[in-house]
Amino acid sequence: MNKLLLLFFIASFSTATCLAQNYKFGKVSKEELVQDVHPNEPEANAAILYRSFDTSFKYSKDEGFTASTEYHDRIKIYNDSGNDWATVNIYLYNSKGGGDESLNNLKAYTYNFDGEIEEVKLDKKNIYEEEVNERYTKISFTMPNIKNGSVIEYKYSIRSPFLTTFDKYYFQEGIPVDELYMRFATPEYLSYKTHRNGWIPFTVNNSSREKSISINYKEKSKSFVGRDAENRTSTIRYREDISEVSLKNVQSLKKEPFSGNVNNYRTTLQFELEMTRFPNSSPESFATSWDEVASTIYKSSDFGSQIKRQNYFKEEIDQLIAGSDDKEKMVKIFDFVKNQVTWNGNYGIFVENGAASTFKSKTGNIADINLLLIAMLKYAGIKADPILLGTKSHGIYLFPTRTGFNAVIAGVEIDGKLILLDASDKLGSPNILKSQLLNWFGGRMVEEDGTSKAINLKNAQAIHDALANVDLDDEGVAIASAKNRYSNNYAHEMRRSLYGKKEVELNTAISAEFNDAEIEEVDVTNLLNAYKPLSVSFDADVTSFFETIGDKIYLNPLFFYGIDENLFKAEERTLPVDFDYSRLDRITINVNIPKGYIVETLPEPLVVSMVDGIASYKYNISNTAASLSISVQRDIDTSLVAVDYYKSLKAFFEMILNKENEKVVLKKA
Amino acid sequence: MRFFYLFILLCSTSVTYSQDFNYAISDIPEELKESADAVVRFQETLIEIPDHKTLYREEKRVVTVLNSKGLRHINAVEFYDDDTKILSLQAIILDAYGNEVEKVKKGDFRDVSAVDGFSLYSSSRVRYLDFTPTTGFPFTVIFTSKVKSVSTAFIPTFNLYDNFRTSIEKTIYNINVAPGLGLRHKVIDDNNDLEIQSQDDAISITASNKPSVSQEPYGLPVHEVVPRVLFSLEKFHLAGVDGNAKNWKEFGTWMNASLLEGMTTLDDDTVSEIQALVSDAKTDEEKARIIYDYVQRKTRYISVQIGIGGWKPTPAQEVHDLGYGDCKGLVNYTKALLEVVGVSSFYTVVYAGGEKRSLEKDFASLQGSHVILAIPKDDDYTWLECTSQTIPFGFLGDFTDDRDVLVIKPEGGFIVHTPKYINDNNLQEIDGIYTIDVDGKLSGSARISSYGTQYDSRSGLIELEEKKQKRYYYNFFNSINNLKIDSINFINDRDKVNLQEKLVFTSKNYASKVGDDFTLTLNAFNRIGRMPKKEIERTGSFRIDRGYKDVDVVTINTPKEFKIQYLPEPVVLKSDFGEYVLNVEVINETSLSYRRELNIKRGTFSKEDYKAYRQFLQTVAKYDNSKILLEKK
Repeated sequence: MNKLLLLFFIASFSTATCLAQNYKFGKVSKEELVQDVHPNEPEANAAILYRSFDTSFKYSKDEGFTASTEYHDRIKIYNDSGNDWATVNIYLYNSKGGGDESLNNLKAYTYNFDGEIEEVKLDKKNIYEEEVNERYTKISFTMPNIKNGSVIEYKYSIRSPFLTTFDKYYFQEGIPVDELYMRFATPEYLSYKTHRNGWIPFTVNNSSREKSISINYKEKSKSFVGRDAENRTSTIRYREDISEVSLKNVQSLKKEPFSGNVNNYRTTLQFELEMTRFPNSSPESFATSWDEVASTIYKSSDFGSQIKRQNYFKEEIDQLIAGSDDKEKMVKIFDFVKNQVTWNGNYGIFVENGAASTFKSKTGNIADINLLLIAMLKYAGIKADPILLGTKSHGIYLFPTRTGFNAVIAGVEIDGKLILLDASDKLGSPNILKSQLLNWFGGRMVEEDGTSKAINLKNAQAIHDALANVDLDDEGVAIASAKNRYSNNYAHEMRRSLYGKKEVELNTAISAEFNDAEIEEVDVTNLLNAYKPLSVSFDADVTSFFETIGDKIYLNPLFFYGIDENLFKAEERTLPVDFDYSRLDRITINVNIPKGYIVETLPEPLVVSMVDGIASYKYNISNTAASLSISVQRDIDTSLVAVDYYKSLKAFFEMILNKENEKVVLKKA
Repeated sequence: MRFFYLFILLCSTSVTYSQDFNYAISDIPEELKESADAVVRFQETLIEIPDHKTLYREEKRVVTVLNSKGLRHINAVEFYDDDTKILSLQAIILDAYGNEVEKVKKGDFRDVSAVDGFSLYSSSRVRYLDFTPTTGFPFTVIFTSKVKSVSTAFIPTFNLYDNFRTSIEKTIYNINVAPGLGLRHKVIDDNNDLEIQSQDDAISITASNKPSVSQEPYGLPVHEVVPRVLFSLEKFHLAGVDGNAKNWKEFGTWMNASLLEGMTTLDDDTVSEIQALVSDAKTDEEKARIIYDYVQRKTRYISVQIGIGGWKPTPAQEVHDLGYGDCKGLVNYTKALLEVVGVSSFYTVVYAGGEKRSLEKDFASLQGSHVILAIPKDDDYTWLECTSQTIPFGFLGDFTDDRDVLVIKPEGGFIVHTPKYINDNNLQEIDGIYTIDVDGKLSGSARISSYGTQYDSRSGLIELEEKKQKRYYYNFFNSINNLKIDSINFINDRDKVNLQEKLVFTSKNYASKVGDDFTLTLNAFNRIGRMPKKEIERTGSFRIDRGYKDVDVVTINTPKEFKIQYLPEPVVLKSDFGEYVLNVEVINETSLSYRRELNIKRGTFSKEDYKAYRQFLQTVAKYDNSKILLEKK
């Protein structure tokens, strides 16, 4: 016992020295208070001077092991825009029966410097607890006495009975983090693996020490957790495994246009339970590979069993698919589910209502709907399996974890070809998924026997074909008759924006796609038939594109089809550019040359490609005595462009922009 | 007597509820389906006030949802808190033929905290119908609810429409009040859409077959176009206090005595700290400026809404200690500090928002959504917005300008009109220069000076980080492509309420190449933006709320290798909506002076004028696009 005490003493001593003294709670220094800008990022509105996470496990006879994580933040506020950091929201999960999280030991202070250090404590009565909904409670507070230059410090711990997956520990934020310490200490019975994210390098130091638990029990216990008569105490010695991370000067990472979910790029560490090895019981393995993760999910009654039960829809499906071949069966069943069942807006990998009651109640989450779809397809003799994936806002998990998934769709194989189906999307069609599902990492298709494989979600290239004929009449009014044809994701997005709109609203929505052109005679075909390309035609007034200066007409020959703004304006960038899907625009325009005019100058044709085949551009223009003919092809051949290409991507768009603003000059004959 | 009264109540309730219809879609008159996303088939609101501390509200609302946009018009929602309890709640879903599909009981309504998106905490909660339509559209929801409240200060207003694009088949509103409570009401119904029967203690309103109204750009605010009836009691109860008021004067007296008095007490340390601040100040205005500056530096806005007690400000000492508060707390705190230095000021209730809305001048009741502070100055007032850390002393901006507000004095409440910022008060002057080189590159600088609401909308820029400031200017100079900003400087003169932005920038290929020549759009800095939306058939009048004036004076230098051709003629456009002046003068062979003035006047115009307004702006856009040719010599 003495030995253990000594060990404990050494351990805590070493912890104390490794944390520089000024990061102890309450030891805010004058230097920190008088600092008026951040030394590395003078633009920062606030900075995290110190952040620590400290997770450990406690044993109790009633609950077994529970985890407790202590959070400690010391934050500097430089100006009013940094004030948001003085408000803290903490969410606690309540599983309704399966245990709940609790918040303990919340302490918080504001420090200011006015000749001397002044501290104000956060009063308990200014901490608010709010039941947000059945599952979550929100604890919120805002720090008192905040001024420019204030330092706030708070510390709290969350006790949790949920041991399988921990929230990500964020080492990086939208503001700089100066000093960071993380400790994760587990008893030898629980082993965790770590998932890293982001590009800031850090090392995880591993060590271990001896610990003990005293257990009061009655009579002799046979297993680890004992019950029954007679009071006794036994001491169990075990090894505690400790992972530690120390980091300094982590630069901030902020959202940028077309960057998707910035949290996917921030530096984080996450722990996930890999295995439990309790004395006197055989080791139990938790997810260790994507394969195992997928297989574990499949085994759950809220997943695999949903596909197996098929008797309840037999009648309808038999009738539906009679006399069809595989492809027809797939389309019929897909349309049947899509039209019958309405998505309730929720994601998830497990069913909410169950496939069978979804069939009856006609509503469910994405798992309800797509597992029902798979069950029906399988019943019809089609090879169909679920594909697990994470939505864009959910974030990408690069390492095997169940938390990485929050949606399920169907993967069908016909004639050796894989077809992706999402019946929760009423405007979707085979292989065309809504952009929320199009994460760049892909999904995982899992079969009944538990085997699984990675699936690329890359959709077919979205294509927009446009043909316009332009006439300038004697009164000087120019009208363009335009026909547009959209396929794949272009069609899907257009359908989403036009769906349910009529008359004025429809016109406005279409006009918004064409630089707010004044349009009439609008005609939309195949709006609801997702199997066919969507066509949109209209007449637009393009008079303003013919500019008369002296005896010449200067004409922008691309009209509203021309790009008039570079989407990439910032000179530097830190995040990749996410286009959602690859895309191709092919625009052809014929202009009848107004009577009495001849062509004086035409822009030069142009063909350019970006390095590594990322994108290409073609511009062609020619004329006869009576007309001009212009064709443009913009081809972006990838959905995600790495940040290394940013400067050339920006230059590429700049070049297109300049080209598409060039004018044709017509002069009086 | 009381017995008899209760009996009538029960009777009237049972009568209306015995009416039951089949709500088949085929019964809806065609004209109610036009331009509508939902149809209110039947709405009945019944308010019973048996005593000044009890209010029962019973709702029956039958809504047919025609398409997915109509879902938000179902309104199967009830809020509750410590003072308001939900007694019953139910929804029945019918298919297109009026057959019952599903019944949703109280327990199946979602129960969540009424998160408003900006409050740190709100004790208010909400139960709502979480419903996914499965039978497709249309379908019908019959929503019934009953709530009880101990507050009678706030009686729900009758509004003919709750939403745009919703038509009304039949709506009924009945209010019955115990005798002696002094029921008052005010009808706002210019076109006689409502049938109203009123007695001393009971009022009944009905309306039927009202087609939907649409939201239109530049349309008049909802509170001006929707017929409504306001209610109030002479004897009422709020936040544990009884009240008694017939008019604004009495209402103000009551608010002062029961909500505000005693809230401005400060401890001795605070008092001496504050007194020391103004020891050198001579006039009241000087003192007030010092106090306002102190408050702006010391506090920030944090909203915490606890029950109906949310009508009462946080005591001043508490705001002093915490350094934050909501609008009521911050106004009361500023008032307390001014009191300490001998400057009197008044708590003032207002409807806040960019859309101007006045308190009902001649109808006293609990109104408003925000409070500001009024300091008397000669016959007028100096106004302070206390929730902003940056807004200048005495400046309201477009949040609370030009509207009737309630100034609360110990001797009573008074309706006062806040200052206007209109037409050339909202001035923006651009003083700039740019040079085009032989490759068409633009190098330029500009000083943008703004006043009034243009100051209001631009001064927030200073607080942004540089990246976001740049993003703003990329947008502001949207006619300059490939913009590269070299420097940004601000001078914010808060005393004069004037902001000066100084910018230096370049743009490759600003002038566009045509053969050997260039065309150059002269107006590089300030072209008119988006046009108001085109409308095939406008149904309502339109309004320009405040108006503004822009004056741009720019010197343009062109390369000596090129000849300037086709200078635009001077332009003077005059219309009911404003004026536009464009003038380009030659200084010498390679430089021009460009002058542009656009003055948009505030006003309310008929629906027929909308076309002309668009035309005026389109003509402005055309002249803003005037080009010259730079011809290679």
